[in-house]
Amino acid sequence: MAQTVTQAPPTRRRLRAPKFTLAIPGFMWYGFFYAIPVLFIVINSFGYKPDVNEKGAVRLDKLSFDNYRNIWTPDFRDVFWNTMRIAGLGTLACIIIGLPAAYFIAIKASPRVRALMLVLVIVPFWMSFFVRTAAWRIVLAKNGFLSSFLLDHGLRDTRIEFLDTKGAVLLAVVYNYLPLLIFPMFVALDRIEPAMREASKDLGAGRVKTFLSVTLPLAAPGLAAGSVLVFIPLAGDYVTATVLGGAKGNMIGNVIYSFTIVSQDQPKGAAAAVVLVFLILAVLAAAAALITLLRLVLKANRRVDIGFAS
Amino acid sequence: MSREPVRILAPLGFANRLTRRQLIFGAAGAAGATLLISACGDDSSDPATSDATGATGAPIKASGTVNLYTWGEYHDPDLIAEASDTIGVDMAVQFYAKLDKSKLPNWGNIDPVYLGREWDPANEWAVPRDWGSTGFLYDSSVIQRDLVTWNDYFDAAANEASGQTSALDTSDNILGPYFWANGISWNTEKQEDLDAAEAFLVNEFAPHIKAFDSYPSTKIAEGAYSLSAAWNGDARQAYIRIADAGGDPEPWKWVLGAPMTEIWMDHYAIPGDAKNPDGAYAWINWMLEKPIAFRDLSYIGYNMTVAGTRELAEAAKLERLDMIYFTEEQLAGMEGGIVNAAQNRKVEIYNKVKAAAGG
Repeated sequence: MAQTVTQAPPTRRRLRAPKFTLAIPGFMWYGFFYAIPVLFIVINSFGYKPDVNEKGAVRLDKLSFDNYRNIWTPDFRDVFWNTMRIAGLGTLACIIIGLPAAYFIAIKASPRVRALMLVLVIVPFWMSFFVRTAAWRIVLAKNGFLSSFLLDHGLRDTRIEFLDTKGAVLLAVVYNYLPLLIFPMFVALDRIEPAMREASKDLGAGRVKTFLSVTLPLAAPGLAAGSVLVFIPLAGDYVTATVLGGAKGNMIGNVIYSFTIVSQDQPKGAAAAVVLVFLILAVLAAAAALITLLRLVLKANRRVDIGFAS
Repeated sequence: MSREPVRILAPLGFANRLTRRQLIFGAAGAAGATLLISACGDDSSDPATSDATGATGAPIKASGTVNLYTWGEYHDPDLIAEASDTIGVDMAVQFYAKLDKSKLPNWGNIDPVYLGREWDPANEWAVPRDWGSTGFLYDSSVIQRDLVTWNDYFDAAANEASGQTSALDTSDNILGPYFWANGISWNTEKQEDLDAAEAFLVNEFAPHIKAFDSYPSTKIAEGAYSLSAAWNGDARQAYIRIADAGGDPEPWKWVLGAPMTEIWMDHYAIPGDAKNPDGAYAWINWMLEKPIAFRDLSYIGYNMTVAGTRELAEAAKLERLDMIYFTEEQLAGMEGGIVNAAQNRKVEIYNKVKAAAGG
């Protein structure tokens, strides 16, 4: 007689991985390829370059602030200032151009063409950064076709003299970094329920008021993320300046490159890189403080007394 | 036989930033490359190999990929492409390997005047390829006077060509013209010379510089400069490029640096950890064949070390031979560069000039 015994499966305690497991690959990646190298850069910035005939790239037997002193001289301060100016103006230009574009794609454009428009925004990213930057030289060259066209049709009296200037760098960085602002901006605007804008209208706000008091504050995280995404890599960019900036459009990235690769002076390049990081942090902190202050002022002014005076 | 694409591991943007000498050190850090163009000298005359003069046979065959480190517009792309069919190598660094001259049957084609130089007295390490010098090009429709010396170069840069001047992008070639203009050797180690150079270049010269450009020929054609310091071969290519771009090269004048200027000689060397040394030898050997060296010369416009190429160039009536070959008088004013104790200071000045030029 066959007897079937049904046994309850043994109760097993399910092993649960700790919550941070998912973050391990990310932490390891940033640890090995970011944090540790950056630590080396910081340490190297206090060392010095050995003499020409000595071996090795960095000497650490005498640590000093000499590299920082050498970097923080008027000539190099001008380069830092120029870099921060281009990064600031570039970010501002990206906001001025990118905000309406993102607003249009997220809110005004019909959903059918929305995806296509987003694809068009990233089309330039399909080409190498260097190539799409160098392409501007063909368009804007003094003897190039645009210059010849404008001259031949009497639209200009002289040829274009725009390459190898700060303006050329600014133009190209806006072109190169604009999608980095449009995307987070689009996501933020897209997430705002249309009902919010309708409610604002129902309560008597006009289009401008609705945009400034409802849409923009709700999209602020996207604007902040986009601006940071543009500002930080832009401040460290050296490809654009190398290709289009000539001597005048020199940015601190070029100086770091020149110290580290051309001059083989890693400690000085490291010091310049550390100074750049601190400058970026300072600018971001200042911007955050300014925005917080602005919000407080706006809040104070917007207070409405509805009669429940305490 | 693998047929991988040609790989030249020196994109222009990178090569622009390297000086010939710095390339040696730069490339030493890159792993796995095979062939290196270097700017120091080679082999002394070894009687055994001198006897082999003229022993040109069929090109040596090899296979695989060779990584060739070179400078901007410094190898005819046609030759590199043909290498695959001709020598079976697809042209794609511890330091150098000692040369195995048994793998270079064309060694004897090298003119002995280029052998046994001080940088490699026994010619153990490198194969001399070509040599040249430095001067400047100017647009005579903008600068309507005769420029003759480095002093004239600086003067025009500060006047007619202000903001339209390019300088070579290496520390030695930023400092060299100042020293030569003032009758000082560019190998000077004197503190006061270096201080004076820094003061002049940072304060007087930097504000007028439009770009630091080691290969100005392309941008001259684009219309970017009116005055450009250049290596003679690149300057010669500028005439071709201006014409190619539909411009008129006629107003452009070439001036070899005076009263003194540079002489350099470039070499092939094989890194000690090269993966495909036979491929590298096959390439070098092929380059030492007279007809190939002549084609090399026609493209880059530098004086080749292979004997008899000058006669071929003259017979072929190559344009602007005066930019390739120099007179005795010109040669007398040329000096080679030495890496000495002033090197770090020179690089420091170079970085300051670049920072000041951005102001």
